[in-house]
Amino acid sequence: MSIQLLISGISLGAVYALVAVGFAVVFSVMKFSNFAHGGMISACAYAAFYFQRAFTPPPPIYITILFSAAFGVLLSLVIDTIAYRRLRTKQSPNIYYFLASITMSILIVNFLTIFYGKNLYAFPPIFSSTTFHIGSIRFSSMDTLILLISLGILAILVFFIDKTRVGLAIRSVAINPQVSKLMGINPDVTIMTVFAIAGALAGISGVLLAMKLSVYPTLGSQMMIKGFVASVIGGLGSLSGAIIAAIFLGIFEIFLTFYLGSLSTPIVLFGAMLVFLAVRPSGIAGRFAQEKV
Amino acid sequence: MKPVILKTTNLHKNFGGVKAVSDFSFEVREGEILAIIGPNGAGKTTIFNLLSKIYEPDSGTIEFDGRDITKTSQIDVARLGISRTFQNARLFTGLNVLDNVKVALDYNARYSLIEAMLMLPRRWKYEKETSRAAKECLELLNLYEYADKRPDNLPYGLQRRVEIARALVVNPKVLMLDEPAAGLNPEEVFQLMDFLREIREKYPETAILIIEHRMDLVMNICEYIYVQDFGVTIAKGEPAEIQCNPHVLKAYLGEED
Amino acid sequence: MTAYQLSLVMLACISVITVSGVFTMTSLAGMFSLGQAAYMSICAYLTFVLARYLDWPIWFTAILGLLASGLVAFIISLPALKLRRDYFALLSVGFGEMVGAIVILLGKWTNAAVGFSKIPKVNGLVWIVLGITVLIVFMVRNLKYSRFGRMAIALKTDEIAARSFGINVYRLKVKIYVIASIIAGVGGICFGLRNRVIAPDSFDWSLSAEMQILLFFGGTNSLSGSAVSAASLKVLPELLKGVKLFGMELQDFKTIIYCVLIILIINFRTKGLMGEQEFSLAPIKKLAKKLNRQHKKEIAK
Repeated sequence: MSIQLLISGISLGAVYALVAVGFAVVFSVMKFSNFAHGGMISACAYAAFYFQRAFTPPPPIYITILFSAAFGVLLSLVIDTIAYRRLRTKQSPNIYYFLASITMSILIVNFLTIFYGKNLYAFPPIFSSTTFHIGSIRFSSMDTLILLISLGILAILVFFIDKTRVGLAIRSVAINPQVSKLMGINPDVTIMTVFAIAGALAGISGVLLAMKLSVYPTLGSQMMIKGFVASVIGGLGSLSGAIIAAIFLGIFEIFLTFYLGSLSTPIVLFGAMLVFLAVRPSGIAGRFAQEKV
Repeated sequence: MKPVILKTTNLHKNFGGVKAVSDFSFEVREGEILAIIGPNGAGKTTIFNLLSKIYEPDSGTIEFDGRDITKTSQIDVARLGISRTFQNARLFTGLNVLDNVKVALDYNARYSLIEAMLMLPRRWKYEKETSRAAKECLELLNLYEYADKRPDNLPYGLQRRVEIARALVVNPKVLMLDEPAAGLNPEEVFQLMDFLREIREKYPETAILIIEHRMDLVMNICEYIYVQDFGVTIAKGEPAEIQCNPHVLKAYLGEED
Repeated sequence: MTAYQLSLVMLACISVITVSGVFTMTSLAGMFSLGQAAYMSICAYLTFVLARYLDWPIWFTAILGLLASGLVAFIISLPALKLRRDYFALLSVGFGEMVGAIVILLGKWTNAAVGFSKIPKVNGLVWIVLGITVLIVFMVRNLKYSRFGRMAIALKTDEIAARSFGINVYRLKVKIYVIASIIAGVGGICFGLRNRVIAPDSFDWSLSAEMQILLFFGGTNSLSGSAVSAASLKVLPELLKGVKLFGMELQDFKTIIYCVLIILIINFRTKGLMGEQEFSLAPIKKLAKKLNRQHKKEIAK
């Protein structure tokens, strides 16, 4: 029993990790919390849902994921252009980014609500049987698939950030934009890359969440809160911290839900987070994005 | 000799291996005007940040008015009467000039949140008092006509002066001015010197600490000078001594062949 | 006035109350919270549930409710306000979720998601609400022009500089947050009295976000500006009920239109419509003085 719970928790945590990393990537470079991420996830989930339904027979799942990721990239860049670019050139204070991102999120959710209603749409099943057995342990096919996909994507992303030139550019802009500019890194291109990555992650997590739960307008905003929690507990801006925190959060939540019921879970989660941040305000990674003196 | 008001012994501060300030010992007497000079990166602003407790010193002690303030918080140090300006005029842009000066007195005004919200008599009384003190200070620095302007709409020279007013209004025991003449034109520098002399007269007890690059100002106004280079005090003395000190010339002008 | 018009007036008033609360927090002290609706919820539920089950008079339970929201705000803020502003905003979202969950958990008394509707009818409610609104706006205005307002604006601009003028940034933030939450609670009680039903859904984070939007629309630092925008933007869509454009209900698009407006404002008129200006009586006063002077001159002649 508890191994199943553990797997299911890790699987949930892996999706949270995708969301959290999408958050953390933007935060590390832009130093603001991109609340629009939640809206993007919802929008991508809808896009994937209609894409899946548009074809008979439905396309294989990886095509849908690719489509959704591409859609996410596009959406993310559009949001950047509409909401943030002008703020950047004006060098507006942080709070405006914050407000703009929340507004974009609400905008998307409302848009979806008006045109598609508040109904839940179930994603068409991709497996004929929902579980499989290894030895005596029963696994949920969906959870396992989601776990594998998320871990794969996270691995690619970590490799990309750590080992490629573009990743290096992102890291250096995150640390010091002025110096990076002097070193010949174009900050605008880097910022666009970051938004593209965030968009792709939103797209992928949108499909996975849609498969796991179902499609509804506030899907993304709910998950975004979890992702944000993870990225904060992990230490805002730290990718590895966010991933670890997200997986712990997933496990914690599944066990809490199992033993306490789904109602008490948010209460305990919030309490735990408050205590954690009171004790260790810099998060797991301990890298505190300190405001400049 | 007047009593010592502020004194440090063997102050150290490192930033990730870089010695910003090392072994800094000095003392300031009541009413004295003292300058800390030195090339860029000599750790002068770090000394101010240590004295006003924005930074914690790695080792060493700071004594103020006979008591050890090495462990005192930034807020309490300010309340004890060490007041400062910043290198880049950190005025509160959301407040007008008068309010910028008033806000320095506000922690001390004795009316509560409830009294403030309901406009009770004590609010009136203390608001009046604060306004009067702030206006007096603005007048002293010739800023009265700008009282209801926003500081970010003022020319830089005036902003610097507003900052001095804000630091001065609390009648501090030690007033620290971080490069007050930076960005001023020569005429404004003369004005500044006049203001400093006036402040000296009006607040005879207040010790003034100045970080400055402009030698004309330092040499004309200050009674004692510490010269810093790479975090170390390389010379100290009265202006006349400093002017012909070979170490100072070397630090300032570089090796001359 | 018809009952419908009266209810619109109350709607506007409640909006003004809650936005004034957010004003103290965001415009004065620069704290950005998406959890203010939770304080409305706490206060409203306590007031009406206690009044119903303990048979206590409503004004008394209302005071208890307000004290409770102040107390909760105090406890939450002690760890939360030591954190960065982003963290704080996040915590506020989590806090809102938590309060919603608690309300459902206590379904035995609160009637869970269905909503609690055993709210007494108050006669002449509109006058009471109007009076409260005026009082709240008056108090927030006074706060802005007091030492607390000045210190708050100072810490919003530059915390380190604020500290170096003896301002206890942390304590001031806690105080302001508690005040803001109590004002939100007042809004919550009025909300319940007007609607006669409260449900966890009525107070979710989108309501908190809406308050922030209304505030920024009117002007980031203008109390009068945001009060006017709070009232008008809340009532306007009600007046547009039934108006159709291209075959679609215009009212459905209310939020979308607001969002687009906000994005435009943030990008093109960064400080909100009124910016930092207040609507003021100064021009009228000047005119009065001038007339007075002329009058005196005439007398002198």
